[in-house]
Amino acid sequence: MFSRLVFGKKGEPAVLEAFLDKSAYERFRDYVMKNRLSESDAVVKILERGMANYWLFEFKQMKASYMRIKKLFEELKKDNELLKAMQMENERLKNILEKADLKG
Amino acid sequence: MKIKGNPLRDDGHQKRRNDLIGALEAIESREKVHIKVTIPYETAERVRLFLKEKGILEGQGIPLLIQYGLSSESEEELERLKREMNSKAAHNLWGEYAVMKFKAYEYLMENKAMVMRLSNMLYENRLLKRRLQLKGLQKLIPKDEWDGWDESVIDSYYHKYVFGKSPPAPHGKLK
Repeated sequence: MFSRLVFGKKGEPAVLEAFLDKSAYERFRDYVMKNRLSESDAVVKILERGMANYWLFEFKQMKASYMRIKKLFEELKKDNELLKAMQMENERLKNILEKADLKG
Repeated sequence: MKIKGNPLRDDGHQKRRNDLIGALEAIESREKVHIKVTIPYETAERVRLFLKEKGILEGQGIPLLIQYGLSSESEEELERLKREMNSKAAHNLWGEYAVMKFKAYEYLMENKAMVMRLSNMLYENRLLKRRLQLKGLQKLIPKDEWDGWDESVIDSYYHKYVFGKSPPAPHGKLK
């Protein structure tokens, strides 16, 4: 189940196959009807817009992802500090006991 | 155009997993619809080169370009986004994002390894504190967050880091 481009002879139309999320497909159908385009013409216009604004959309996605990752990062960091603190404390307590044993 | 849904994947709800792998799985599990159209050679070639230049596989890149191309942003919104993207703060944000993603992955792996030993670590900690008490060194025994942890807390950590999902019941003290 992969989206792909299938090329024939050079210069001849190519076949585009895509697997879209249901919501993206519904927006595609709306776009076709609203703009009264053939599906092929609609796909061409959509692809052109996608390529022209690629970095803008990547930036927008990154900003949204940043907030999610930040929350996850804080949680992972907090757990990391706690688990490491337990490890270090065990080492510290072992040292105290060793010294106490040596004393006597 | 052929339309073909995937009823096997139509579970109707989004999985709420915190980890990165879980998020990817959730994206993959959404219902898909297949479209097949012919497009001019020049456009197809431009798309192919565009994706190649970005290092994106066609399988991921084509739906992504369609998704971006269909987005509802107006020209004004895109212009505003463009100004924001070109600001110094935005440049820093890309860097911070990359570093944070990397560090989050590192923490995830480290935490996973430590959680695998959590039961032993906790047992050892309690044993050491007991030995200090027996030696009359109560003053040196620290009070810790984990002193009150029971099996359910260890299970919660296990589910979070080893099985990669939330525990079956919200009885753990883990936040």
